Amino acid sequence: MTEWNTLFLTFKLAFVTTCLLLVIAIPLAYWLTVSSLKIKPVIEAFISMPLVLPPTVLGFYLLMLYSPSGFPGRWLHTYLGMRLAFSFEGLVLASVIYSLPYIVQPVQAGFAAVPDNLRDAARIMGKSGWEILLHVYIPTGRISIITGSMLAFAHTIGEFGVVLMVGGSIPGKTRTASIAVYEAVELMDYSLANHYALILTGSSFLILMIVFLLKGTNLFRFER
Amino acid sequence: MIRFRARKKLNMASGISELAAEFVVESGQLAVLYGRSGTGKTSVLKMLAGLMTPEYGHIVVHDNVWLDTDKGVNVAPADREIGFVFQDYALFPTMNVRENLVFALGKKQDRKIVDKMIELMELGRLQKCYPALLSGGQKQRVALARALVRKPRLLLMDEPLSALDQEMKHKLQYYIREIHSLYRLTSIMVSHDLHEIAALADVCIELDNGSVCRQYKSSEMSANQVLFSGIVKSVLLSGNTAELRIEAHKNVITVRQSAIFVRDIVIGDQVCLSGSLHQPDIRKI
Repeated sequence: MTEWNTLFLTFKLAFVTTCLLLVIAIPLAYWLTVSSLKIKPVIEAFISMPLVLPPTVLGFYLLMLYSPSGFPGRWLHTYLGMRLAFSFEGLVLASVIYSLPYIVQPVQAGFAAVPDNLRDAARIMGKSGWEILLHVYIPTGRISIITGSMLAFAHTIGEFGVVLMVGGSIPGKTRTASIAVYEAVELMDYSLANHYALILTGSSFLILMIVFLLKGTNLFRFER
Repeated sequence: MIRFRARKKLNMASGISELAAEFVVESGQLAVLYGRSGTGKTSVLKMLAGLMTPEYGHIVVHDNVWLDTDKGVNVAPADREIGFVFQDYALFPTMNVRENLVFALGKKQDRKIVDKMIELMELGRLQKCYPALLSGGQKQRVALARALVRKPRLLLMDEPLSALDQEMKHKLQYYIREIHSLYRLTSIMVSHDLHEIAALADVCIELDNGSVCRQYKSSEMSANQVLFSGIVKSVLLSGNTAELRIEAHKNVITVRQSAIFVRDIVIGDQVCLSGSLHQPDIRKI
């Protein structure tokens, strides 16, 4: 039963994280695509940090941020009653930050492929930035959005360092499958470790295969 | 009346150079902007549309100031009442023909104009089709219809017919002329095709290296005025007519003339075109 709990928690974390990421990453990628502000490279570097930063470093900073002895953690606890350290909500926030570049980058690349003339045409028609995003960029860049969210989903499932640092390994609350593998190996329960490992390998392979299938797909073309 | 004056550094054919153009187009005229590639024609259209801001500029259209860099005035593209036909059509690929037109509607605009445009441009049978399935001429008709949905006072067209075959060009020239007079538009169009200029233009504005080098009414052309000089790339004879493709200023211009007048011209000859736009004289240099 614990096994299913762990797997359920892992996929729940990945699902919630991906949903939040979609809301955050799509407008962010659009802004990065169309903006010509000088500060853009700084923001791009910040977003991409999790790609190169050791997960433990990110986990450490987040833990410091969540700590009730620090200002943000105390503020959240006092005013919103939230305790982020070693909680599911804390894991979600960490995963969102950690997986952000995995969705922003493909979506930004997809949006960059949308011809500038389409945006110019919509601007002449008096459409706002949000309308242009919703009616022009999202439908045109839909494949990159699907690809980006699948990569973010798969990446969240495979998180280890950040989850361990921020969430610990509380069964049913913060113990995800990747941590369960580690703990099972430590306890020399190779059968259990194999069980988790097989499911993680299978799901990761499946998601990546769908991503590569989508790359050359005609499925979503508008040629009716 | 349109008064245009602008200065901007641009990455042009000759490297980074300055566009410094000035011209006036009377209301109701159809002006054709021509000149070699990379000389700033599209940039002029984009400045008129408000999609590009010059370092210095003053644009007044029908007594409304759209741009005055001295006073910090720069009217947003949406408030300029323009229709813009892009060279690559810029149709939204995920919307069908009707949806493309409906998307162009203003917030409180009556939808009837969409049906009217579909009828005028003969798009009835195509209204459920997506742009990927349309031919070049059909896409161009949709682009024209979409540009007119907002009832613009100024229509800007960036080489709207360049990718089409002769037959389709003639058909669309007719549509352009029709809508121009029907809606009493003032239009500015970029073109390289002499026949197109002859068929459509009230006034021609020639740009060279970022500035207006000549402006004249097509009816006022002097008999011996040299229009272009260039190199003959191909000669195609069909019956009594010869179709010559002449490369001038890096653009290829198609000219048709009675075969008898061009019988001594072969591929590779340097020629100059003079006389009227409707029937230019072609001479070997």
